Amino acid sequence: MGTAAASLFMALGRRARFADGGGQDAFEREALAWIDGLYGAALRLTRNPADAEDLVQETYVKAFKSAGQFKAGTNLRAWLFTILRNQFLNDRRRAKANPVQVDSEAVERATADISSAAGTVEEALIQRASDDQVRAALESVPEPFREAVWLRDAEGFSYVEIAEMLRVPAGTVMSRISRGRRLLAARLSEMGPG
Amino acid sequence: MRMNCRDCESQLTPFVDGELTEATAALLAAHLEACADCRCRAQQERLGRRLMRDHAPRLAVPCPASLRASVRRLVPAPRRRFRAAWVAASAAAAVVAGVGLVVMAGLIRPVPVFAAQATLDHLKCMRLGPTTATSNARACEASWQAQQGWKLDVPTGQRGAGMRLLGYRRCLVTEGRVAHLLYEWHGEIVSLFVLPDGPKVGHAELEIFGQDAVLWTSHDHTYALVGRGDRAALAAVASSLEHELAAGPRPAGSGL
Repeated sequence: MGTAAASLFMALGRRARFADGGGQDAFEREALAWIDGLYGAALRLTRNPADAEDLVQETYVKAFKSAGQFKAGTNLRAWLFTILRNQFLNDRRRAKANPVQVDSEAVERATADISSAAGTVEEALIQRASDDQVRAALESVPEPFREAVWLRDAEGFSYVEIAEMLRVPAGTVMSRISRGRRLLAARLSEMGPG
Repeated sequence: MRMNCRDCESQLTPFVDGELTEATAALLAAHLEACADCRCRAQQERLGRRLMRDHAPRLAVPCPASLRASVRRLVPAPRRRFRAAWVAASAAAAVVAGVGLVVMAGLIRPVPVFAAQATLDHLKCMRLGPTTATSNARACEASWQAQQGWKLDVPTGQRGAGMRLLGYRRCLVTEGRVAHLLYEWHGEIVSLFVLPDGPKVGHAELEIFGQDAVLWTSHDHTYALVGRGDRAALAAVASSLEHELAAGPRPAGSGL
């Protein structure tokens, strides 16, 4: 009984300390700091501001409720992005309909169009591309590639973090990033000066 | 060793991101020199990467202020969390109250249970303050004797420990069988619990409920000093109190 009582006290002690100390406040503060990135991710997934707002709220409700499951020392931002994405998939029951299988050949065909782009053409493209053009080009990239490129180049996640979020192997993540980047470049070169 | 197009393609992204080892990057670069198709792929990927990284910071849509405010309201209120902590503490207190009598009979391992009981009382009462407030140790002893009927030695804590007596509380759970003395020590409240004829705990130091507790037995009394901070400093305070108690009654006139 003594041991059982002692372990009960220890368990309660941990809980009391968690609630009493700065731990949870720090968790919430940091979680709130990532709201802009999460809203951007929600917008890209839902393509609708009202749905994006709902998705962000649902994400935080779930995150605050599951705070105990978050492993301290791991990446809170990646954890939140994962919750958001899972929530999106659950909400829309899109797990099956998610266009993960895209026509790879079409991607290759599209990116082959600028295969002759020389260094000077590249430089010119970089110089002339406007934010609006890049946004439009990115929008035209199929979702799995767009998402991988955004998570890598805009959010700066590692391949492994993205793989965990998207629940695909890291090799697939790299391949999606590669194709997404190439598609983006191809679409922008098609746009011409603008 | 040479790289083929398939290997090259699978490594292209970490190559462009500069995340390959020097050796693999050199192999891949050698393949690019030799293969125009892969060279083009690499060029395109670099271009796409550069465009993304140049423009992404301005493409991000900031979260609307109204959403930010709504999400802030989702944060569990501190007061609610505080209550939740008290639910946990009260549950533990109920268990402790139940086992407390058993402890006094010496039937179960006394140290963690007495420490838990003392720490819960400390956490609860440090916010409430003493029921009898006095900084005079002898007045404190006299008042306790009159109310509870047993002789309590109250250390001033001033001999080396740098403490200031605030007063005592009579704990409802233990119905006066445990004296709870409150002190101020470097801006913190620390509690000294005194249990006459309590369990023999020898000397024990432990962390419980986020507090440090030092327990010892002296002259058939069991003591528990509870506070938060540096365990070693608290142990030094306990040692100083122990010496003060062992030295016996204070000379007349040293009222504090």
